[in-house]
Amino acid sequence: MDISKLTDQEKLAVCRKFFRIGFFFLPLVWAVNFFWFFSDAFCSKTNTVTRKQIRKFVILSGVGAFIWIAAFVIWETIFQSYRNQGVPWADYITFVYPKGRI
Amino acid sequence: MEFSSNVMRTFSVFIFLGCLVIQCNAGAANPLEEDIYVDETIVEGAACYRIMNGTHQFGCHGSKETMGVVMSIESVEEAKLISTCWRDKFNSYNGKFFLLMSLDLLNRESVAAIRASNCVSGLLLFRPENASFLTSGGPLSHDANCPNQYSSSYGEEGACEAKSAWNELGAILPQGLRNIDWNLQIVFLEKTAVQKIQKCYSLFNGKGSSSDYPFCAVSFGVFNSAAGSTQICYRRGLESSKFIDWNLDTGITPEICSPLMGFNIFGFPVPCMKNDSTGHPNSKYLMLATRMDSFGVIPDVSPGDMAVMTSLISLLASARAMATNAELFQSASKQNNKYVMFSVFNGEAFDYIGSSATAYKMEQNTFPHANSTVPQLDLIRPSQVDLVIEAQLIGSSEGKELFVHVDGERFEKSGQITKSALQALSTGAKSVGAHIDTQNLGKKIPSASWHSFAKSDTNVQSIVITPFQETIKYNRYNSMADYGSYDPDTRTKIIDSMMAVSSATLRAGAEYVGIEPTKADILSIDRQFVSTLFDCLVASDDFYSCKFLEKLNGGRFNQSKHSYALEYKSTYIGVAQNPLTRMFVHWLMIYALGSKKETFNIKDKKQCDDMKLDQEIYAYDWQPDPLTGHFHCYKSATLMMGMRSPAFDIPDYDFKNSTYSTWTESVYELDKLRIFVIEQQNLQYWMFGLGLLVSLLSLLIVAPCGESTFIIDEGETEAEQGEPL
Repeated sequence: MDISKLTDQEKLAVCRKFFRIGFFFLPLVWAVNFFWFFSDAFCSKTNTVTRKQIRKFVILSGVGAFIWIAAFVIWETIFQSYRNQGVPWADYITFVYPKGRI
Repeated sequence: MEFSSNVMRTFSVFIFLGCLVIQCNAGAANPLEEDIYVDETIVEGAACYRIMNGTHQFGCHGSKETMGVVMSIESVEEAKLISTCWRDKFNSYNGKFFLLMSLDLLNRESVAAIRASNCVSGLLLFRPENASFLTSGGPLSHDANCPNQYSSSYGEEGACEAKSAWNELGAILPQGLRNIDWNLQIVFLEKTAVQKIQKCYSLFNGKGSSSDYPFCAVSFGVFNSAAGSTQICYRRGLESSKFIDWNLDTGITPEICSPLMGFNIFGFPVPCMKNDSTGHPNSKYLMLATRMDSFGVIPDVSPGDMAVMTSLISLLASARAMATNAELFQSASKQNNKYVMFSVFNGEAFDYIGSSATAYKMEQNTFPHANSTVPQLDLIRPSQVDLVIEAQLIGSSEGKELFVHVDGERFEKSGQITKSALQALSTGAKSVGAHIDTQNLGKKIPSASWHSFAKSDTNVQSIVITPFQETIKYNRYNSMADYGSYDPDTRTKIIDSMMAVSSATLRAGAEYVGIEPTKADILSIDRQFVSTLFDCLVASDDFYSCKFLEKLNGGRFNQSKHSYALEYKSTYIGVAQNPLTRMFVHWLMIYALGSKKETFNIKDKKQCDDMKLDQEIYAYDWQPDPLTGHFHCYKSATLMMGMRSPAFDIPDYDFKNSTYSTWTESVYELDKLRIFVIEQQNLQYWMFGLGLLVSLLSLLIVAPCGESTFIIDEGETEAEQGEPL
């Protein structure tokens, strides 16, 4: 899809759709939404209501994606550090145990 | 100049490879790989692998760096040069080494140097030609200064004297070679493999003080599934270990480590029957005990000549003498309600697996059998065991004086039974011209099976007969080097020691059950039996080459080349329940205690097996007489009981607790030992470049070609288009 050929209303519809899809545990869709519509949200000289709404969805998508990534990194750091020690709860949620290593 | 030399070398290698390819094409059964590598199969048990206790992992695990240039070590001085990584000798080689060395060179100095070095990939160990050392030589024990320290009934701190630990003189490392997480591979090689490596070494690496490429190298690796500790691996092996348990291959959670498991052998010269009309609810027992296991840094390579076999023979000879005088023992036992029980425990070197499992069963009222309605042996509880007499390292005394150890505290509290037994031991030893010092009593019990029973009951007494007073003099206790070639003089001395202990324990048994001294005086040990067992179990490298055992086997078990423990004498408990050693010990116990008088009319195995039905007192075993080779149905009160540590049977047992043994063995895979020649890395880059160049040239030549390039006959095009030629 070439969004440059879309009207502002159509862009808003796509951006909103992507934002809503992100709620289904799809942070990458939010990330895509953020980068895809970033220029439309912040780099456009026009400042219509539609643009403002796109900006809102872009910001929310960005924040959502950031929270997801931050949560993922924190979780992964905690999980991996405990998994390396072979603690029961970390072993319990491990899918494949490494062979010959803790 | 260097460039031209490299080009020349590249050219020569190119021609060499060309020749190899031609040779390969000439014979399909001789692939290129076989020309480059010489592979030696390392059988299961001939290499160090990972074992674990409740808190730690030990042993060996392969990594990517399992390759190394071979360096032959022929003296301790050479071993000390490990710190230099032999950079002077092996010009421009910066990699690691596999050290080819005999077992006796794995001592304190070399181990310290190996552990400090970062250029050792592995050790290739073999038996030295001359092994006629007993008390000579340096410390070669693979056990710790204080064996079984963490499972002692005295507690971790009290297990050994602070100044002199039991095995301080013999231990290579204070914590024991076994209890090290080695960052290298250790392999035990047979003679043929050693010869191949030595030939390769002398051709490429042994060229004077300085050598240049190519070098002889080997690669080998053991790859374990388990890691960390028993606690971790055992939990991971449980079906409930994962939130999502989805195994793509079988749907079954794969086992990654297994508890060490063995069979204990028990024998009663006179069985005490539970359903006996006289009834013996409070029968008492004298336990004559020994162990059937030891270990080395490669666990399976553990001949156990002194640590196991000589003490075992002493007890078997004693059992045979009691069975020969069965009527005498029977009348005294029944009259006084006192019985003798022979116990050969397995897994004692690993925190008393066998004895602790027995004590646990006794506590649970399920020893020797769980309660049932059929006639069975009387249940034995720990409180019914009056005294445990254990023989240790007997042969290593070489005919010299033997000593006894008792627990000072218990001896003072209630030592009458022990005092009588000590007197009897002394008398028994004297009857064969030997001496057991029963005056200078050691006040603590060294590592012995008694510790398990002592934890269960505070009244169980103990006497441990050893050739040492304070510290073990034998420097190869629990070691790969616990073997020797015994000259006639040494052989006689060792047999004398075994005779002394046999006679002493026989007399102690007689005294315990209440046989009058005048009658006990006529009891004697069969020296021929002891000598035969010495030749078969101690002097022999395996259980197959001795006529006595060959006849006892009677073709029931064939030598297997697939596992070290099934081919050679190995006393490691293992996870497959050490089939060979315990099987022969069981057969010998049946022979020693069994009788064929009452079963002479039984002519086949089925009839013999039928005798076992509906009773749990006697075992009826169809086995050959080791003197004649003829099969008979032996009736004996013997038991072979599979045992593993109670830690694995108690629900939610805390593996960090040292009450019971927690040893496990990882599931592992073995590489082949690969012998090959390595070239300088520069040359390898040149070869790679040459390969690229050839590919590029080929591409350039082939790229401009069209379909017409390959059409030689002009009529072919038409033919392809359907025109008849």
